[in-house]
Order: sequence, then C-alpha cells, then structure tokens
Amino acid sequence: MNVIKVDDEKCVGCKTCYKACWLDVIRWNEETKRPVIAYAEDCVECNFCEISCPTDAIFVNVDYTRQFPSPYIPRVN
Amino acid sequence: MATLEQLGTVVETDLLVVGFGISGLAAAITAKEENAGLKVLAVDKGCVGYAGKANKGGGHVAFIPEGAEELYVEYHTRNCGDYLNDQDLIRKYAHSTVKTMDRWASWGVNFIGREHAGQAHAVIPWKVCIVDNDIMIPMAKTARKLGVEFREKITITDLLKEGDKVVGAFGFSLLTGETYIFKAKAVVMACGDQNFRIMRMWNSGRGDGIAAAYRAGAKMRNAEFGSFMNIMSAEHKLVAYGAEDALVNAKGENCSERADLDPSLKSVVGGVDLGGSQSVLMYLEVRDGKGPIFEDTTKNGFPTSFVGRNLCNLTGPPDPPFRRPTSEKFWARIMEKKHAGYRNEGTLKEVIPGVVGEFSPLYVDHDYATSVTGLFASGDICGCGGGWAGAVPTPPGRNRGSGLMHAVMTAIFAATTAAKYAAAASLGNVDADQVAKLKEETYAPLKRMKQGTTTHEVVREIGEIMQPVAYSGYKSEERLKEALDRVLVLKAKLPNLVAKDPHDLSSANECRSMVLCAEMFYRTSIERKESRGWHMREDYKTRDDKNGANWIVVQDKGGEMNLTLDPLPMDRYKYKPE
Ligand SMILES: Cc1cc2nc3c(=O)[nH]c(=O)nc-3n(C[C@H](O)[C@H](O)[C@H](O)COP(=O)(O)OP(=O)(O)OC[C@H]3O[C@@H](n4cnc5c(N)ncnc54)[C@H](O)[C@@H]3O)c2cc1C
Repeated sequence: MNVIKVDDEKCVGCKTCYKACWLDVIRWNEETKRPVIAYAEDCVECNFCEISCPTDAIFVNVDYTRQFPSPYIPRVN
Repeated sequence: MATLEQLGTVVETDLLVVGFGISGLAAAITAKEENAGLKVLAVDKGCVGYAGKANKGGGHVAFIPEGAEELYVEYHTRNCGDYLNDQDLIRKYAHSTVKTMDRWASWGVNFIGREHAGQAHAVIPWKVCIVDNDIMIPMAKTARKLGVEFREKITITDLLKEGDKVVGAFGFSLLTGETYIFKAKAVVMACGDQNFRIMRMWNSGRGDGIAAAYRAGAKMRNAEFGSFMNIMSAEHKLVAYGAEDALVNAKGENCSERADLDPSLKSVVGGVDLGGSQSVLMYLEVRDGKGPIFEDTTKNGFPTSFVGRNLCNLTGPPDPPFRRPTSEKFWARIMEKKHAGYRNEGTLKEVIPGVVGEFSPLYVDHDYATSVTGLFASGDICGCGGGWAGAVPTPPGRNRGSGLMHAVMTAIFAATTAAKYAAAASLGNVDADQVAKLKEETYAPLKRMKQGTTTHEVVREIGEIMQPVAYSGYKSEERLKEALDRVLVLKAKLPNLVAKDPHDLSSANECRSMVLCAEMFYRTSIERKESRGWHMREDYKTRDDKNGANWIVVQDKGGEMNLTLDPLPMDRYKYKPE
C-alpha cells in the first residue's frame, strides 16, 4: 500500500491536496487545517497532490510490490 | 410514507450535469452560453478543476485541418473503425475539430503550438498541438463566471424517472453519506467510462453512469470493444510508452512482428493504428513458452518522437513553443517514480499488457441524446456507444489526442441539445416511493453484517476476470463463456456486499457498475462471431462482412440483458469493405 506523508510544519493549510485527490484518499480536517490521509489503500500514485502542493509538504511513497491480476492466462481461485 | 424532503436533501435545477471532468465542464459552460437563463448544476465525486482524467493526461489535442476532413473519414473507416463506424457521425466529427478548438479557446484554454502543430500520423494530415495539464482550472473559472453551480464529493448512483422520462438523479455525499435527490428538466451524463480499476492510467471511470443509464432503460452499443490495453512495466506497473515497437521475448528474439501470426488477423487488427495486436503477440509468445516479454529500451524510439519529447522529457526539455509548466512537473514526477520502481539497471525491462478498458457503450444519436427522453451524454461515457470510431475502444486505439477533443466537442453537441430540451420542458414529478426503494438498496451494504463480500474482494476478482489477454484480448467462445461464468458468480455475491462508511459505499456502487459492465462486455463478445478491429477472436479469425455489419445493441428488458442486432446502413455509406 502506498504511504502518503504530510509535513505538518511545511503545510500552509491551502487545501489544494484535498481538492487535487480525485479518489477521495485525502480528507480535510477543518479544525487543524491539515489533510487527513483517510484511504491510502485507494491511492494510485498519480502524484497530483504532490505536484500541486505549493510548499512540497506532501509526498507519495509508492508501493511497487502491489498485486496485479494475471496478465495473460486466467488465474483460477 | 416518507416525503422526498424526509428522504434526503432535495435540489432543483433546470439542467443537471453528472461529472465535471473536462466534458462535464464543457457541457455546463455550453449550456449557459446557449441559454443564460437556465439553471445549470454540475455534480461530481471529485473537486472542481481537478476531477476527471484531463489533468492527468498527455494533453495532446488532435485536429483535422480544413480540407483534409474526407481523407480522415476514409482512412479511419478503413484502418481504425474497420467499417463499423457511423460514417455520418465521423464526418460530423472531422468537420467540427477546428470549430471546437475556437470555442474552447474562448474559455481561457491555451493551445500551445497550434500554429506549429506536429504531424501526428504517418499517412493522414492529422495535426496535434498541446494543452497544459491545468486546463480545467480556467474552464472552471469560466463556468463559475457564467453562473454554473457545483456540488463536490457527491456520487450519483441512479437516475430518477417519471414514466419514460428522466426527471433527475439520486446520489449521496462521500463525506457524510447524506442522500441527495436532484430534480432536473434534463440530465447530461458526463461521468466517464469504465477502466475496471486495473491499470493505473489515472482513470476515474468505474462505469457508474453507464450502469445508471442502463438501469434507466438506455440503449448500449459496441460494448464488445471495451478492453483497451496498454503496455506497462511489470516492475513499476506504470505505462511503458513506445514499448510496443521494441518487444523482445525471453529468447532474445524480436517479437514486435511475428511472422507466423495469422495473416488474416494481421490485416484485421489494423497494424500500428490499433495497436491491439501487441498484447495478442505477447500472449502468444508466453503461451508458446517464450515469455516473459521485455522492452528493449535501446530500441524504443518514443522518447525522441514529437509526442514523446513533449510528454516524457527524457531527452531534455520539449521544443521551445511547446513548454508547459504544470505538465512538465507532472510527467517529470511520474518519470522519477517510475525509475525508482525499476529493480534492475539493465536495458531490458519486463513488460506486460495492462487493461485500461475505455469501455464506453452508452448509445447516443448524432445530437448526443440517449435513447431515453431527457437524458443526454458526452465525453468518454459514450465513446463507443456514439459509434463514430467503430470497432475500436476510443482514444481510438493508439492514435492519441482525440480523447480531449471528443470530450469537449460532444459536450458542445450534448449541451446544446439538452439546453433546448430543458428550456421547453417543465420539472417532472419525482416519486417518493421510487426514491425510498433506491435508498434502501443503495445503503444496504452499510447495514449488512461484517461477514459479507468486501469491495476490495470484488475489485480483485474483476481484475482477474477482465485482465487476462486470453479472456478479454484474444477471445474464443470457450474462454469467453468461462469469463462470463466468473462474472455471474461475482454478480451473485453482490447482494452480500458490505461497506464500512460512505467512501466504501461509493466503492460498493462502483463494484455493482463494474460487474454489470463486465457482463455486458462478455455477452456481446460472445455474440460477435468474427474478428473486427479491436475485437479479436481466435475461433473466428476474419471479418464477416455478410453477418458482422451490425451493431450489437444491449438493453435491460425486465431485469435481463437483452441483445439485438442493428444493421449498419452500408448501402448509404460511402466507404465499403473491398
Ligand atoms: C494517462 C492519460 C493520458 C491521456 N492522454 C490524452 C492525450 O494526450 N490527449 C487526449 O486527447 N486525451 C488523452 N487522454 C484521454 C482524456 O483525458 C479523456 O478522454 C477525457 O479527459 C475524458 O473526459 P470526460 O470528462 O469524458 O471523462 P472523465 O475525465 O473520466 O470525467 C468523468 C468525471 O465523472 C465523475 N464521476 C464518475 N462517476 C461519477 C458518479 N457516479 N457520480 C458523480 N460523478 C462521477 C468522475 O469523478 C470524473 O470527474 C488521456 C487519459 C489518461 C488517463
């Protein structure tokens, strides 16, 4: 599973990462004005949160070992 | 009996746009431009300016220069559509690309290099320029200025009907689970296609809109062409651009071309223009014990090509007129992570085919009205259903650059038609009983005991059913039936789905949509007993011009998936098989 790291010190609370995440992985805490990584298991490493952050406060650590379905020959359970 | 207000938040509008990716944004803007007095509301699971695929794509915009339209129609019909395309509609497409760009530009979009557009194709004068990946930000600003209203983080799960007419939509908030009942005079579905959540490619398409329209009685067509495959790295699992031309098997033999490939199949698959043959080639090599397959990175010409240079920047920055700040940052980050994902430094990288789907069978007429009154569609959702591209999943095939163009052009068509319809219609009556029933069904996974089927289990099995080339890429009666049986087993588990919260409940609805789309794909694939375009059958290797010149139409008939044949008006069409 990808691990998304947020540097709360660098974060300026602009909410752009929340808006940029189209898979609802990132939620927003209105009190602390900081992102909440709510559904990391659904992250597909598009990195849009990362490139949209004005202060480089968020980073997606990609899990390259994730399972992929059998590419050619059906895998029967 | 509960009233509508007791069942959820009721929102009234004239025109409801479902999905505000680039097509939904373009539809909302167009509707306002056509009729400023119309109330236009757009709803999406994501946030304004960021939702959808357009900001995560290559940003290539392909157009047909004035004077070259007919050349394009003929070339596409013969080489990509494989004579299954609606030749009237593709002509309308060819004559509308330049006009679309002019209107699109007026919404604050900058076409970079339009004057120096690159040659996108070896044979036809198909031009390509580019847009930056933040393209939806100025479009969203334009929409807001025109008075379009937006609701974010809402998923639409079903359409509401009064008799035969669509009168709104039902959905809920991903954040709170709150129910929303949208009453509308007309609805435009712009909520994307289906990628079965297999290969990344950053597609939000889960087929929710296709499934909702199907349940509302809408016609579907060309569902058997929805298994677009890209080639991806087996190591980092992201797309390996250009690998298709540099394939090597485990014995070190070049296998981008395979001499023993059935010649008839070779002519059917359309060579470079469709690119579906590569996944079949890879499969045949592996089946013959010559796998795995590698990309010889020293032979991959993509990075230095026009498209490659402007996308990947592997060989330095793009040519001066083609600089794009957001896009360069986006693609550079993807490249960094890809490289971090390689396990070895060698020039041979293992590659596999990856299903991207682009399953998009919602039928629309030439004005982008669906077969259901009050329901219109635009963009990826009706890529195949519209019929313009023919026997190939859109983009189409590996000819890049028509996804964005198609999304915006068809939004202009659909919204113009829908705005006219809405202006003459009145708000329909939404039946509280219908809503209460939908609410009960939709929320059921939240109420079930924990032992049921989880959404992640369904997603995993859908991957195993839709990905193997033996099932969805190189088809045969026996294997198609086996795949369909697996879909039906999964379908039987849906009444047991469990969800832990509203986010997961949205996944549960996506699972329902994915299973429905998979069933439609396999049923129609069994029905088409020939090879045509992207539909490749090992047991019927040639195109059957006598019996195959039909569109397979799918419609719900009393809970059953009903298939009928709609003959193409071949006599009237200009280009006929030779
Ligand atoms: C990696 C990649 C590269 C690409 N490169 C190019 C290129 O270079 N050139 C080109 O022309 N095209 C390219 N494309 C294709 C192009 O991006 C798409 O064709 C186009 O953006 C589709 O727009 P759309 O609005 O129809 O669909 P989408 O962008 O998929 O938007 C659909 C929207 O509907 C929303 N939605 C879905 N279900 C629901 C629901 N139940 N309720 C509410 N909302 C919902 C989604 O959240 C999404 O925002 C690329 C695509 C990808 C993924």
